[in-house]
Amino acid sequence: MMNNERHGRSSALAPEKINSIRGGGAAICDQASLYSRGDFASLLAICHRSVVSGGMNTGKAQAQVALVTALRSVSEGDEAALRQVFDQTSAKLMGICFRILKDHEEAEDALQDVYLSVWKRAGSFDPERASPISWLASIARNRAIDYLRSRRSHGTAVSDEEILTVADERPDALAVAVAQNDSERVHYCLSTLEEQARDVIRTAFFEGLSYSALAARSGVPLGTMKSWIRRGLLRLRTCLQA
Amino acid sequence: MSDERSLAAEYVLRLLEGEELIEARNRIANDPDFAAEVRWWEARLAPLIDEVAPMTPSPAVWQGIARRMGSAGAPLLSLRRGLKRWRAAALVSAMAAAILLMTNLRPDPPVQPSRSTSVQPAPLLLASLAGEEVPDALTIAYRPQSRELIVSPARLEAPTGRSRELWLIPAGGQPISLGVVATGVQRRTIPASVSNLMVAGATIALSDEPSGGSPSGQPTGTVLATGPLSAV
Repeated sequence: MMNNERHGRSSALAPEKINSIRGGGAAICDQASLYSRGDFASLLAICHRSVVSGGMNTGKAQAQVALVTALRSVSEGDEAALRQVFDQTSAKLMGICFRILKDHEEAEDALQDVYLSVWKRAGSFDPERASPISWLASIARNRAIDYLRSRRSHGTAVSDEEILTVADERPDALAVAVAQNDSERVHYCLSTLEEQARDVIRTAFFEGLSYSALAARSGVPLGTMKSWIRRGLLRLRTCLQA
Repeated sequence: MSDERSLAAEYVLRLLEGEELIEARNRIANDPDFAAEVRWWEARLAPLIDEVAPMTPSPAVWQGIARRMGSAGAPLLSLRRGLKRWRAAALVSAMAAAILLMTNLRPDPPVQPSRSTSVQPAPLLLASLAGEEVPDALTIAYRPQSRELIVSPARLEAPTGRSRELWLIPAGGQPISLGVVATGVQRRTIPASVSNLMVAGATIALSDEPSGGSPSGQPTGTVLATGPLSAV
């Protein structure tokens, strides 16, 4: 499918590429060399994103390395490391939960679940596949949506976040790097959509509404809502791939 | 019918419900191209998170995490990484602890105040499946109160083109499919009609089936492992 072209191009960082990254002189990449061999590749993926793509300043990249390192410690049972992850990310994740749930107390309950889930699942985080904050944000968004849906009807919500861990283990560091490089691209591509499609796609992302909830809110038939969004998503995909 | 080309994005946005959602989940478990497309969308949409304003949670949040973390034991997935050959007994106890935590992660339905004088914890059913080839194939936990099934495959490698399917075999009854199993912890909700049969003493079995699961609704391939459900 379309994404294999990108994935297939290169899944590992070639030595000359590593040299060029290191030659870039970013302090963060020197820091990477301090880590053990196993971690080195992961941290180089961050260097790749931060330096080659040029889309990230050193401070932000350093924060990412700290987060990746802390998540690794969490996966080994280090409670202090979880606290570090919490301190570094809880305000952002709380913002995500609150935006979806619109209830302070419930958002805090969801947030607790998020970090307990991180405590259990930090070992499944792969820095070559996602940036740590994207990984955490995705857990928070999914958990908050689980809360939202179980609020409406008990027993129907199955956590999609668990299911995502099932996906295969094909390395796609480059795909992540490319996405990072184009971090502005999704904003741009959304702006090219018709207003109607753009608004509902944004609402779906930020508020976690399902097709039926979006249709009810907009007062249009379910089929109409689906066709607005599907048409918008296909255009979005074409733009994101360009 | 869902549009093939937008399904992954719809899944990532969590627009899907009902059959379309089930279809997408099956595809993730069984179709690597589709799973890759899901990840592609996740990575592409993730930067939108930048737009969300941060909000400091109250100190009670960390306190709650620290309290619950203490009773949770060691992280689950580091087991998968480091120690591939656990003995079945050790695995079951570790899984039981982990599963107890995971079931607590779900929001509970509100407790009826009228019965609050002595609230019993919801019973939990566990089954550890073993077979000749796979002595510690998987562990399942089932919480009847929420009809929630958690499946934790320990050693499960289906050959290409084959799937592993989980079955409930009520005492003296026909097998009922509990769905296809993939390599990772999975959580699903069981229909009420099946839940009534998920009782201590029933048998849980794992069979080898064509990709996507048995086409007939009954096991067609080799039974790889079985184990009884028992209350914890």
